[in-house]
Amino acid sequence: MNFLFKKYALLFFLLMFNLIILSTGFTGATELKKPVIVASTTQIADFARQVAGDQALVKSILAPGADPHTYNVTPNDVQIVLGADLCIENGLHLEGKNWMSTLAKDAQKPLITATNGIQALSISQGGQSIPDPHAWFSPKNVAVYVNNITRGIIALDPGNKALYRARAKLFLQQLRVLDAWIREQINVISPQQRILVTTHDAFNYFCREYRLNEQNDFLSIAPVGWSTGAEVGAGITPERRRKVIESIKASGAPAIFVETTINPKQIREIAKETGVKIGGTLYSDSMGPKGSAAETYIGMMRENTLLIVNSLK
Amino acid sequence: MRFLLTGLIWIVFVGGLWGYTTQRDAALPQGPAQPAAPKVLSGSYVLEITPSFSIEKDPFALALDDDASQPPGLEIRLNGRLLEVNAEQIKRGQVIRITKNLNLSQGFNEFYVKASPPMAETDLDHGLRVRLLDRGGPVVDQTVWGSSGSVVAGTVSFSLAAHKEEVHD
Repeated sequence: MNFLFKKYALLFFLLMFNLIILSTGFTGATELKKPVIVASTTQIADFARQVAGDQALVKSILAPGADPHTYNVTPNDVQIVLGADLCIENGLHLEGKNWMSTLAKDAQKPLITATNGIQALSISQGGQSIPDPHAWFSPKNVAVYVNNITRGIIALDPGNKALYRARAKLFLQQLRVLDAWIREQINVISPQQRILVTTHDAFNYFCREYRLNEQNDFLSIAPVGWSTGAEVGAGITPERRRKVIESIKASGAPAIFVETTINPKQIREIAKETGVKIGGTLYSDSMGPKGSAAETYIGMMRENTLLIVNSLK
Repeated sequence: MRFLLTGLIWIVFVGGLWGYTTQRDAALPQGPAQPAAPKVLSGSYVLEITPSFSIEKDPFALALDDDASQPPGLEIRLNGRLLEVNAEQIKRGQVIRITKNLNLSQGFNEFYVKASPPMAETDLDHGLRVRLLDRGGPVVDQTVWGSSGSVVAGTVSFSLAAHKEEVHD
């Protein structure tokens, strides 16, 4: 009899314990349920975070330092996109073989192309005109990214529209200040010394906006084309390499730059051949790792500008 | 028996704590208290805005829903409400006069002004003169300044008393 009593008491205790744990667990789960936004690159993830704040969970498929042109998706990326409420890509074929749109399409998730509405610069390669995808190198273009992303996030969570609008406005003002600051910094370099040679053609928008590389119609000078992948106009050719060397010799560039996402071998060889020093490493297709000065877009642009100015002036 | 007692004490303790926190949160106010509506002053008020620059569309503006009541690059609010501005283009030194929906309240009032200078003038500091006239005389006269490259934005706060003919004791 005593044994039965103890048995029922134990069952009663376990039942109550489960009820309490489940009730508190469900409350917590409801509170923690936030929309999940998955961005293809670190820059886009930063823009989305600036707008979404604590109202959404923002994830980036690419890790800092990864190359979007040659990236191969992993089973883990598929899982991340399956858990997304909204996906955002850069577009203009930055994501090699359009891997982000493919991931979103396969998972049947809504997708925003952040560069929609941007006046893309055209790169002429082998008789073909290719839109340059590195549009974030102009803060004015980033304002378009932010508008597109804000629209998408508001459509996903209209209840918090006022918060998203307010955050977007603050970030846009920061971009405006950043733009003015970059102009002021670049202005320190004499126009003749504003020669930016990098590993790949990622800095066209930066050169056009801030008037660098006059001899190349204010476009970037690089041995590797707009992409490190195998697309038209991508990769390195002997012709491109020869032109870069000629350009460095003719202009008397004080320094040339490597990039965080690309093997620096080509630039090192060119530096040896031309006798020009390497100015340092620029953040191009990816921001810096967490904890670094370039872990945000504004930080990345600030560090790049300081490096360029200090090496060229 | 001792085991049952331990279990019961545990349930009472945790349940009580859970019950207390639930009740405490439920007792919190569900919304803000309704503030008393401020008294709107009658009078012939005119707001004058004079920029020291030609106002241009801001490439860094949030453009989610186009607001047709104000020209691009300009935002004027009175106590949080957008004011209607009838002007296509606003040139340097041009005076913008606003009289419509200028519902000023007795006591504290605030104008918020924001205007975008040309992107080609990032090396210049810009100003926006804000004047509020009552029956032709200035009540408020302040200038909002913006340093080089930035949008000129700021608030102009002031207090208004009721006109003598509006005071009935």
